[in-house]
Amino acid sequence: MQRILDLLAELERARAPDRRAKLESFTRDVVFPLVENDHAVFFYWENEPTDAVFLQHWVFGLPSRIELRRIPNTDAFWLPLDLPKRARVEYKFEVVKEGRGRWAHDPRNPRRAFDPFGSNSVCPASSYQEPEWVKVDPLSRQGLLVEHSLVSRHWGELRKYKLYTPYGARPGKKYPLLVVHDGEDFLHFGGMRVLLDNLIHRHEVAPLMVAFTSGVQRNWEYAANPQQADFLVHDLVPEIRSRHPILAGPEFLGLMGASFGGVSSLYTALRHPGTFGRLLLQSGSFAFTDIGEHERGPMWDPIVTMVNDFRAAPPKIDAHVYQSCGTFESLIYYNRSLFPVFQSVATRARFTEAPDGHNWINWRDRLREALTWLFPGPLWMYYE
Amino acid sequence: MSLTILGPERPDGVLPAVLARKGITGPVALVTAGWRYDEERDEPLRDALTNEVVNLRLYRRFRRVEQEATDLVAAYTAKQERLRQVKERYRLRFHDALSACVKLYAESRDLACPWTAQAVRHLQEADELFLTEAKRLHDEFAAAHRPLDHALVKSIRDDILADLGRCAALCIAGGHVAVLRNRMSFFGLGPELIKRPLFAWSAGAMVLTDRVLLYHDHTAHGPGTSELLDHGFGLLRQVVFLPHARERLDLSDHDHLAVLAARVAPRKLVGLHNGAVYEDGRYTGVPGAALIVSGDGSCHAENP
Repeated sequence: MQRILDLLAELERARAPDRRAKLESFTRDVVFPLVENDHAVFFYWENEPTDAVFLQHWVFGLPSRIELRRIPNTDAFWLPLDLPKRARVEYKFEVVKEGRGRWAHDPRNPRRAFDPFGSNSVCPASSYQEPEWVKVDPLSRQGLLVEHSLVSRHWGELRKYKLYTPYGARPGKKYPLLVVHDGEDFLHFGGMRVLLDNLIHRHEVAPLMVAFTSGVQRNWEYAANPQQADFLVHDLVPEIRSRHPILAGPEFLGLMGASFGGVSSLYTALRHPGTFGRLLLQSGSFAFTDIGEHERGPMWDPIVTMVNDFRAAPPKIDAHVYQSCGTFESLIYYNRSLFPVFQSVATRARFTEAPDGHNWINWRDRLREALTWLFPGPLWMYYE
Repeated sequence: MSLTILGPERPDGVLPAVLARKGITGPVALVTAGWRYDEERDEPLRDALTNEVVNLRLYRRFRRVEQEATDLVAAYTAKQERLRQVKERYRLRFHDALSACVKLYAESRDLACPWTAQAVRHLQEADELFLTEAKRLHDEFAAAHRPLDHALVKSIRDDILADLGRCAALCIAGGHVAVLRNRMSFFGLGPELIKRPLFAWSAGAMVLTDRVLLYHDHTAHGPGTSELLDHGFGLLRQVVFLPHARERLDLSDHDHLAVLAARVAPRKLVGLHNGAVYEDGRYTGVPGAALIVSGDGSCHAENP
C-alpha cells in the first residue's frame, strides 16, 4: 500500500513530462496486483487514453463491478482491496476507451486460472499457498488413464468415459470406484490425475479407480435429470463392474461433482438410495425457495423442485457426504442451509468453506481434504 | 541375541556400514513384506550391500496361501474382521478419553494430579483391554485352525526357514506395519528372530517391540488419535519406537507428548531418524538421529 501512496505523492509533485517515466519505473518488472499482508492494490496503466477501468470479479458480497480510481492527470488507475486470509480472487478488467468497454485480463498479471470458458486473472492473498500436492511429483508413480465407451440404454447413444487405475493395481484385486461428473474438466482444469497419483502414492488416499464422465448437453443432463441418474447407476457402474474389479458395497462407491455436477450427484443418491455410499458435493447449485418463485431461469426449475422437496422431507442418506463451497459464491447461502440437513440425515457429513469462488482451483484445492475423508488411505500404517 | 535397530533407511541408509562393522559378510535374509506389491523391488538395497541378499518374499508367499488355501484364509479373514470390530470399540472408548486426558494434563501439567492420573490409567486400561482382546482372537484362531500345521503353509514355512537357514543375518525393512507384522506372524517367524543377528528399521523396528503404536499428527484432517495396532514380537519391552518422529509428530505439542509418554510408561518413546543406530542398549548413530521424549513432553537428542 505504501508503494502506491508514494507513487501518488511523486506523481502529484512531478511535472507533466516526467509522469510517464515515473509510471514506467513504477511498473517495471512488477507483478500486479501488489499484495502485502493480504491487502491488494489493483493497478492499470497501458499508457493509452483510458476513460475508466472497472474490476470485474466473481466475489459474492462485493459490488459486482468496482471502479478503479484514476491517478490525477494520468491514465493510470488503482484500487485497494482487503482480502480475507488465504483468499483467491479471479477477475478481469473492464477497460473503457473512447466510450466503449472491453473485458480483458490484467495485462500486468501473468497468473491465470483456466476454465471451459477461457481464463481469468488471479489475485491470491499473500497467505494463500498453492498446495504442493497438486504439482507433479517425480516420486509419485502414475496411474493409468484409459478412454472407454459404452452404449447407454438411458441416453440411447454411445457415451465415453475415462477410467483411472491406480499404479500397481494387481490383477484380481478389487478397488473402490469414484465416479466424477464433468470428468474432462476435473482432469484438465482441476489437475485431478496428478493429485490422485500424489495422494495415493503418499498413502493419504486409498488406491481407487476413478471414472471421469462428461455430459453432452451438460446443464440439462445434470439439472436433477432422472436419465442421468439412471445412466450412472444402470449403465455406467455395471459396465465398469463387468470389466474391472470393483469392491462390493456402497461404502466403496463414490459419486462427486461440482456446481450442477453436485446437484446431479445428490439427485442420483436420492433417486437410487444405498447405491453410492460416498458423496462429494462441491459448490452444489442447490437453489431453493422458501416462498415465491426463483429467478434463476427455467433450467433451474427441476433443481429448485428437487431441493425444495429434499428440504421439506429429507430422506435418510446412507452415505458419507462431504460438502464444500466458496465463501465468494452466491451459492454459499444454499450450501450453508443444506449442511444441517445433511448432518441430520446422512451417515456422516462434513462441510468446508474456503475464501474462493465458483472455480476449478477452489474445487481442486479442496480435494485432498475431501478424498482423504471419503476414501482414507493407509497413511497411518506406513513407516518407511 | 544380537539386535540392531536403525533409523529409516530411505533415501540413504547406514545398513551396509553397520553390517560391515559387525563383520557380517555372508548372505543376509531380507523381509520387505511391508512394501506389499513392491516387495521384490529391492534392487537399491542389493546394490548397496556387498552381501548376497535373500528376500524371504513373505508377501508373495502369503498371496499363494490366499489363492490355494481358501478355507484357512477365509477363517483368517474372519478373525481379522473381528479384530477390526474390536478396534472400533477401542476407538470409541479411547478417542474422548484421550482428549479429556490431554485437557486435564494441560490444566496442571502435573501427572500426579489425581484427575490426570486417573485419566492416564483409563487410557492404559483401554490399551491393555484392546491388546488382551486382540491376543484372544489370535489365540482362538491359532487353536482352531492350526495354520502352521496346514500342509501348504507348512511347506511354504519350510521354504522360508531353508532360505533363512543359509543366512548370516536377518534384516527387516519398513513399510506397511500391519502387513509386515501380520505376514511375519502368519508364518510363525517370531521364534526365528533370535537365532541370528537381527537388523530392523522403521516399521521393521516397530514390530520387534511388545506393542505397536500408530501415530500421525499431520494428516489432511489434523492430528489423529494415536492408537495401538497390535502386539509386536516383544524382543524389546522398554521402548516404543517412533520412526520419522519429526515429520509425523507435532513435537511442539508437549501436552500431547507428555500424555503419550505417560500412557506407554514405563516404556520410553524414542523417535528414530536417518542415521540412528541402537545396539547393545545404547544409541551409536548420527548425533541427533535418535530423539527421546521426556515425561514432560519435551524432546532431546540421544547422542552417542
